Amino acid sequence: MNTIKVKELINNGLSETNGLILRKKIQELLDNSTEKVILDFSGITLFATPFFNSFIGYFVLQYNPNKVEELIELTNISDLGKETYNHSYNNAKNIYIKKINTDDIGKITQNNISNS
Amino acid sequence: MDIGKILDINTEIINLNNKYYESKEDIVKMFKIQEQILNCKKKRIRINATNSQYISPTCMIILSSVRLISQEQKKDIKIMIKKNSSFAIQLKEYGFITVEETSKNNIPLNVLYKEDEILDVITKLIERSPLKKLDDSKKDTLKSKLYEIPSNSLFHSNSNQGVLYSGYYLKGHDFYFSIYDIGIGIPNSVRQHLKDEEISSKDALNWAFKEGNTTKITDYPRGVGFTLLEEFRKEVKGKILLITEDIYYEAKNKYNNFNFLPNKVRGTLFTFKISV
Repeated sequence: MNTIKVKELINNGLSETNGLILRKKIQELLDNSTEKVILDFSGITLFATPFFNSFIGYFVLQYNPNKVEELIELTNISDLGKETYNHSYNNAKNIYIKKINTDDIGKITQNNISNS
Repeated sequence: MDIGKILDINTEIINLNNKYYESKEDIVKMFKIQEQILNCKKKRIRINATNSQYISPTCMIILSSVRLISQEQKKDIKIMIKKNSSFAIQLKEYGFITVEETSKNNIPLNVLYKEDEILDVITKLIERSPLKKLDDSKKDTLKSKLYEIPSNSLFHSNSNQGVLYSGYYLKGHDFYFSIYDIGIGIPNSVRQHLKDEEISSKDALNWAFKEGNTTKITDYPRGVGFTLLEEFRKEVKGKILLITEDIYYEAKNKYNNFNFLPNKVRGTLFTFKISV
């Protein structure tokens, strides 16, 4: 398992900028290994949705929600952090599902047109 | 002060009322003042507040938009007050007159340009109100939730001039945090995004409120901050006031109310109030 001590990279979990820093680090690890990435949030006490949107939201759309749960795990995160993370994650998941459904409808429609 | 001495044909005098309270009627009046300034053909404007006695936090931030308007339209805009009057003291407390930190219970009215400035502003505001007595965990929650407001405003405002912010604690009463940008407003932003000019301002705002909806294209999903803020508002029994285009939206207790303004206003104003 690859562990990222988040506090060594950023001071808080508020901004999009900080989320993108963490995203870059996570992506590097995912590109070079099949191991799960553990995010250790010890010492991080401030959390807002721009932060989680910019990395976990990104990965949910890139992979899929289930895959993200296999690839990334959060540890030592406060209740505030969990609550904020859940908002961002669930929002991303809903967007992902909507996108998949729209794509499926598009494919079905295209098939029907091709076969008619 | 003798207004007549400074009056010349190149100067427009705009008179303020005696008092502006935190009410829809007075907020509308203050937006009318702003409209007069915006539409004034003259380049030199003097706002006559020599008879003014009181201005509420939301009205204050609307008035303070003259700072951004004067930059944008290259107008010379000044406010005339009676020295040492209660109004002058109040303007100093708000930070309108000077950016010196002259008061113990506010953060000076100023402009935010970048995301990394936000945390410092919010931290100062909390530390200057009775909310500083909250334990660290509750303070962190408050900082985190309030962060959503200016962060969202900076991201969406389409304004090169930054966003105005104001934090004020009215002793014994309420804690206010206001953000105001003089960008294109939420309804116009939604219309442009959806490529539909026919959407009403109310429908546009409802679209923007819906979780997952956002007008900005990024490689990650957005549109969840307002829901979080609304949940927090209910927990702390706070109030949200959102004014954009012709919408006056209030969320208070268990209800959310859309009211309409007689005229469209510039940009988007967001106030979060907590009773302390």
